[in-house]
Amino acid sequence: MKQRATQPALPPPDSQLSDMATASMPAVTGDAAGLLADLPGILPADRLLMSRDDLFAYDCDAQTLDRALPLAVAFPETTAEVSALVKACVRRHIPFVPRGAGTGLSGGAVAVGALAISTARMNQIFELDIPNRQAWVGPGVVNTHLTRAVAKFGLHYAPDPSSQNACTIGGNVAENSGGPHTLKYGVTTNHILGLQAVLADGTVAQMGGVAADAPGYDFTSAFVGSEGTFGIATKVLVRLTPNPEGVKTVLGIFNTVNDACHGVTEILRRGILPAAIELIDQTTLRAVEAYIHAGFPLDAGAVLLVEVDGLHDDLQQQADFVVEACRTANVRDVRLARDDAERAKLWKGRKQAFGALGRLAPNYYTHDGVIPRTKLPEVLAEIERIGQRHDVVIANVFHAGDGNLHPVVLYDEREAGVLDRVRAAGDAILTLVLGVGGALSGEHGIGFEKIGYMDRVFSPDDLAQMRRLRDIFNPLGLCNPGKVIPAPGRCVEPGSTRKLPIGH
Amino acid sequence: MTTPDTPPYAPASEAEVSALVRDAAARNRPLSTIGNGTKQHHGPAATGDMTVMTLSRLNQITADEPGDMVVSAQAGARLGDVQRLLAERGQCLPLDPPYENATVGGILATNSSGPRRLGYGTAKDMLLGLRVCGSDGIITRSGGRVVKNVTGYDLHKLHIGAFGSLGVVLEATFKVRPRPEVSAAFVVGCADLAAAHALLLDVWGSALRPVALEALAGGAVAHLRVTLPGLPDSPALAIVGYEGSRLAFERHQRDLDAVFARQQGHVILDGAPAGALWRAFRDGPSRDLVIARLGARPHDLPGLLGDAGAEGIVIQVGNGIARVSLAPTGPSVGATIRAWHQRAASKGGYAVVESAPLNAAARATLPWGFPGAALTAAVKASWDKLGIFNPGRMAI
Ligand SMILES: Cc1cc2nc3c(=O)[nH]c(=O)nc-3n(C[C@H](O)[C@H](O)[C@H](O)COP(=O)(O)OP(=O)(O)OC[C@H]3O[C@@H](n4cnc5c(N)ncnc54)[C@H](O)[C@@H]3O)c2cc1C
Repeated sequence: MKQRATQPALPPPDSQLSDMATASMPAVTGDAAGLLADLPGILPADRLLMSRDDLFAYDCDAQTLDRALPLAVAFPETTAEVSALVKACVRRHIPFVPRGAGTGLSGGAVAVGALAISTARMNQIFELDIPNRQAWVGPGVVNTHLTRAVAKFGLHYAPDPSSQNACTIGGNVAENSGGPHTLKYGVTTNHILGLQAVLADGTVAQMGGVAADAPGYDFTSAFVGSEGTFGIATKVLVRLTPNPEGVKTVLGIFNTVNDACHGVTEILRRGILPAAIELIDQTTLRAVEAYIHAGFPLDAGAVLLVEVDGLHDDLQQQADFVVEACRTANVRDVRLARDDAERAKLWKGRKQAFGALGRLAPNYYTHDGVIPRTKLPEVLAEIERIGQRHDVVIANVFHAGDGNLHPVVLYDEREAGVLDRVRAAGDAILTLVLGVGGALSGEHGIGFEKIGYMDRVFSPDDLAQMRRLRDIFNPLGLCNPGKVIPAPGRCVEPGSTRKLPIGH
Repeated sequence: MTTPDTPPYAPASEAEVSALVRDAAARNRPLSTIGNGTKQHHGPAATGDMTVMTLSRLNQITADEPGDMVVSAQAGARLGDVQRLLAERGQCLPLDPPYENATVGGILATNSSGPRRLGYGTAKDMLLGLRVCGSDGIITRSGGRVVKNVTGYDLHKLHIGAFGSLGVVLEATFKVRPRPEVSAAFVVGCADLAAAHALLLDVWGSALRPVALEALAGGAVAHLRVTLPGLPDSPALAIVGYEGSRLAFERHQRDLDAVFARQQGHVILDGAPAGALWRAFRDGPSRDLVIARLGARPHDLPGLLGDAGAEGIVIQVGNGIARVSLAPTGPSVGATIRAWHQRAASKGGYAVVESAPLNAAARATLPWGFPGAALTAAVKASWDKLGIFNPGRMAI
C-alpha cells in the first residue's frame, strides 16, 4: 500500500470522488466569493449558472463515479469572453475546467469547486474551405454537425466516436478521440491542423495553421490529447476527408469470442486495411437487439462488424478477403449487408451499444485499454475469467482492429458491496492490459479516473517531464487541476470511492 | 563504462548517451547530435565550440512482432534497414524521406517526408512513442507500442522537426502498414509547371485516391531523366503515385487516360520502375543548391509561386508544399525567399530555407525559420535548461 505523501484536500460538499481523485485534487484556496461577484461583469446573467439547483446538471460527465458541483457554469461565446473568464479566475486564484458536451468517460470535465467554462455556445462553423478540405470551427460544434455541414460537398470529418451525435470538437481535441473508423483514418490528432487556445493565464495562443510543415515545434499535436489541462481551445482548424466512393459492410457471426478474435488477426494478416473492425459480444448483442433490433443474431458468441471502403472497383475483392479471413477463423456465418439500409442499421446497433447496455443494468463502467492485436484471444479469455472471479457481468464491444478494448462492467450500485467487486475487476483488467505491453487508455483519457494508475505505466521521471510541459501551458495549475498527471508523491492505491450523499 | 576519447563520440548504448550528456551538462559544453549526418546542410549549422555525438551505433531494430503491425528502432537505425526487415514480412513504414542513409532519429528531428506523404501522412501520423535523453541525462518515455494511446501527454510529437533541440532521441516506435499489391506511378509530360500543377489539383479533387501528386520543372525533371530516360520529353512533369490493389489501379488508369489526353504523352511505371522513380526522388535534393520550402493551402500555392525563376522546383500538390532550388551564388537568395514569405504569409502560408550548401556565403543569415512564440522559448528553457542541445541548429 502506497503512502500518501501529502494530505489531500477535503472533498467539497455534494461531491462523490474516488480516493484517487480526492488525492490528486489540490486544495482550492482562492477567493470563490470574489469570483462569483466578478462573473456578472463578464457575461450577461442568462449565460451564467450559479444556483445550486442548476449546477447539479453539471456535476459529472458520462463516467458518473466522480461527481462534484462546480462553483458556477459560464457560457462564453467568443475567445475574448473565454479569456476574460480565465483572467478573472487567475485573479481570484480559482480553478477552471473547460467543458464540452460532458460525454467524457474519465471524469475530465468534473469541476471540483471550480468554474466550469462551457463551450456549448461556441458552436459556429467559421469557415468552410471546401477546395482545400479544411474548416475553422468553434470548439462547441457537435462532431456530426460538422460532418452534416460538409456532406453536400462529398466530405466528412473522419474521427467518429460512438458519441458523435453529442460530443464536441473541443472535447474530441482534448481527449484525442477515436472511433470505429480510426483503424484506417486515424484518430483526432491526425485531423487537426491548428488551433487557437486561451492558455491558463488568459493569453490567446495560435498553433499550427493552414500550411503544412511550418517550421517550429508542433504545439498543436502536443495540445491534442491534453485533456483540458493546457488551456481552452476556442477555434479549431480541422481537416475534411473525402467520402469514399463505395462502402461494404461484412457481418461475421462467430460461436465464440475467441474465434472472432482470431478473425481479427486473420483479416489484418491479409494485407488489406479495412476502414473498421468492431467486435460485439453476446451480452451486448442481446442488449442491442432488445433495444433497437439491428438484425444481430442472438445466439452468436460474438460478431465482427467489418467495413471496407474506397473505389467501387475493388470493394468486392476487399470484402471477399474479409469473408475468407473469417472462414479461416471458424466463422459460423458471414454475410454482406444487402444495402445501405441494412448497413445503417448494423452501425446504429454498434453505435448505440452503450446505450443498450445501460438498459441491462442501472450502472456500467467502461474500461479502455489497448493491447497488441496478437494478444486479443488470450486477453479476452482472461477478461471472461476476471468477470467470473469477481462475480460481475462484463460485456465487450470494442474497436478490435486497433486492439482497443472496451470491457463494460455492468452493475447496480444499490447492491451492497458491488462497487468493491467492480473496482477489483477493473483493477485486474488494467493489470492484465499493462502486463501484455498495452496502454491504459486508447481514447477515453486519464482524467480523474485512471490517474492512480499512471505510475504503473510511467516512471517518476517520465511523469516529471510531462509535468514540466503542463507547467508551461498551465503554470499556476488552475486549468483543470488534479487530472491526467498525478502530483509528485501523491499516490493512492486506485480503487476506492468516497461517496458522500448528494444534495444533503 | 568508458567513453571514447576521440570525438566524434559514438555511444553504443543508451547509458553511454546519458553519460555523454551528463558530462556535457557538467561542463556546460554544447553537444551536437547527429545520426548519419545526411542532413547537416538542413537548418542553420550548430554554432560554437561543442562536442559531437553520432548515434550511428545505436542502430538496432528493437521490437517487431509482425502481427501487431508496429516496429521499434533505435535512433541511429537507417530507415532503409527498417524497411528491408518490414518488407520481408509484407509490411512497410510508409515514410519516404530523402537520402538513402537517413536514420530514424534524423528523419524525426527534421520532420522529413517524401512524395507519398499525400497518401500516408508524415512522421507525426505514424509515431507511437519515443525514448529520449534529457539535458540532465535522464531517459524518459512517452507514448507506447500500441496503435492507439491517450495515456499521458504526447511529448514525442514535440521532438518531430525540433532538430534535436529538446533532447536526444534514442528509440522510436511506429505503426506500419501492409505493403500494397501494386506500387505504380503515372508520369505525364506537360508544357509548363502551371499546367502540371493545375492538372494534379484536378486529380486531387477527383474520386481517385493517389498516394502522391508531384509537379516538377527545371533541374528536378532533368534529375529524374538521368535514372529514368524513358520519361516524356517535356519542360514539366506531373506525377501521380498510386498504391493499392490491382483492380483500383486499373480504375486509375482508365480515369487518368482521359485527363492525360491533352498533355504531351505519358508513361506508366509499374512495380520496379516505380521503385526506381521513388528512389530518384529520395536521392534528388541537390546539396549544391539552396532549397526553399513554401507552404500554403494547396489551391493558394500556384498564385504564390508566380514566376519563381528557379533552377528547379518540386511541388507536392494536395499538401501545399513547394521546394524551389536556387543557385547559392545569387546575391539575393535570402531576399527572394523573404519576399515569397511576405506574400505567402498574407494567406497563412510561409517560405523558409530548408537546406543550403554548408559553404554557401551568408548561409547563417538566410531565413531558416521564425522566432517562436513564448511557448517555444518556454519549452526549450524547461527541457534544455543549459541550452546544450544543438545550439543554433534550429531557427527558434
Ligand atoms: C455512449 C458513449 C460512447 C462513446 N464513444 C466513444 C468513442 O467511440 N471514441 C472515443 O474516443 N470516445 C468515446 N466516448 C467518450 C467521449 O464522448 C469523448 O471523450 C468526447 O470527445 C468527449 O467530448 P465532450 O464534448 O463530451 O467533452 P467533455 O466530456 O465535456 O470534456 C472532455 C474533456 O475535454 C475537455 N474539454 C472540452 N472542451 C474543451 C476545449 N474547448 N478545450 C480544451 N479542453 C476541452 C474537458 O475539460 C474534459 O477534460 C463515448 C462516450 C459515451 C458516453
